[in-house]
Amino acid sequence: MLLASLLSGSQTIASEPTLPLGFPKPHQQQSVNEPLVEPLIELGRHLFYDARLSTNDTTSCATCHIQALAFTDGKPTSIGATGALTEHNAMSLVNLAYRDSFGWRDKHDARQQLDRPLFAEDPIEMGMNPKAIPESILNEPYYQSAFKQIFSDTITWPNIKQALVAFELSLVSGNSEYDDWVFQDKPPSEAAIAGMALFHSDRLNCSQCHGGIGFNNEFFIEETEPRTDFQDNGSEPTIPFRTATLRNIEVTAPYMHDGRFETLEQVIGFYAAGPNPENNLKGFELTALETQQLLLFLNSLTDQTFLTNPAFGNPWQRAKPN
Amino acid sequence: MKFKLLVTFSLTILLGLSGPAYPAGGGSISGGGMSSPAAPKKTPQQLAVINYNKGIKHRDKAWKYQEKSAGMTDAEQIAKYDKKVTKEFGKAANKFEAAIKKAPRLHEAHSSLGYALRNLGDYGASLAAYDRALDLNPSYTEAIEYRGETYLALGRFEATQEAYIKLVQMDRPKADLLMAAIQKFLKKPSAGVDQEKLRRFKDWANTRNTLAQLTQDLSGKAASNW
Repeated sequence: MLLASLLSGSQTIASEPTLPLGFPKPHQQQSVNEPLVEPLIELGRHLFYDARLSTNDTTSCATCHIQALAFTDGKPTSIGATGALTEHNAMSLVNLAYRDSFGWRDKHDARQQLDRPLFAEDPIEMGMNPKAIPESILNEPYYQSAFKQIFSDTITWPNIKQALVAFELSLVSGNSEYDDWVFQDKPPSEAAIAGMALFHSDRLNCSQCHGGIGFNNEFFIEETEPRTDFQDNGSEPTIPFRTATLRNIEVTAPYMHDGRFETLEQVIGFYAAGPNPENNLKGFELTALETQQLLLFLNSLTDQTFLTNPAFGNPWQRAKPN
Repeated sequence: MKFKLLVTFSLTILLGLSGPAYPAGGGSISGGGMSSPAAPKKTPQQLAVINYNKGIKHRDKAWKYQEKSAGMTDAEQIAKYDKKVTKEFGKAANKFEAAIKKAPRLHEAHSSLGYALRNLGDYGASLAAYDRALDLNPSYTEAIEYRGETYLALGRFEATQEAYIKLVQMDRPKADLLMAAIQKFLKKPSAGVDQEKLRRFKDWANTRNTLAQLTQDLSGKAASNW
């Protein structure tokens, strides 16, 4: 009961995962007083990997957010439960606890953002009905016990979303080669260090948008290419999109909000061409050696511990979840 | 009648000489009042805190004199203020030692004693005091930073580097303080320092300083910018 009263009513949720060495407390934690507890995160993990949270038992959160791919899915845009394509590339669910808001174009809080994949009808992602919980979830013994333990309430959508968010916020990645350098004085290769210098240089200025602990800031960047596959009410050709994290970028291809680039070399080429001079993306010259150095630096942001940590993996023994 | 008057007069005299009636236990009724119960004795911890805080005041005075001295050009004036600085740090050290006598586990007092001793040039005793502070509280980053500066002054660069990395892991603002001290030291290193070690240390410090500037958000002050 005490736990339920602590957890109910929070707009955002503080989490106390074990943080990587040197990482400050998550930004999200600063706005609430109550800590999360492990059972809530664990419940969230079960829900995250449960395909019964879809209209036809085929699609879980993990279908589009695969741990080995830093919780992306390797596709330009994702495929929903009924086969429809989503609008955007599956965003990496990494270090969300350090974000102010969520979504490619939105500034939702964590629970609001879940409404899209769970309940959206056009296109359908998981195709859930916000007015009803599937019987298979309601009748699952693990959920009956866990929801009773954690919430004074029965299994409800707000509680499901709260648990999912708890798990998402626990996904903190900070054990890359780069982090080993910053926090343990174990420098990467000279080439990667040179790549970092390029990344932060005035010439490339990558860190203008890809700075901060997640290499993403909280920027929304105008797309300059008119969108033909998606129009925002047909009135505006350009739509601001959130900058993506560069952590684990080595494994999160394809790139950009619509997954248009298959390789990082293509991404670098895009920015080298100066796609948005009005927003300081004026382009730059880069030699082949410098491109390799930059790539080595970007690859040094890969955190193998995070990508393989069983604590973030599929907890179900049986085949029915995803 | 005369006898009655005599008795009455005598009684009046006797009563006058005996003075007013005092309640049991002494003390006047009016004005000066009863003596108050003895004030409770201060506990050793309280006395330690009192001495510690006095030490902090002397330390702060020493800082003020250092600040004034830093802005002076007249050698005689500088020497005069340096004497004042030494005197205040000496008083501070005495107070911190007094605090430790009363509360041997007061890690703040050990750390501050270390700081005062370093400023008095007694590096060996300074390090011992910091070590004791950190034995009592390994997470006390103030002592880690202060000890790092002492290592720096002694030319123990590897230990300084270790202290810095420890602070990067535990307390980024303190790490920044130590880096500032390192950069200041490198502008005017101590005499007699091994030049090859100094060169390697300088290379390391420059790289770490650049990295620190690129990761300013980890200082915590930029949290709202995320």
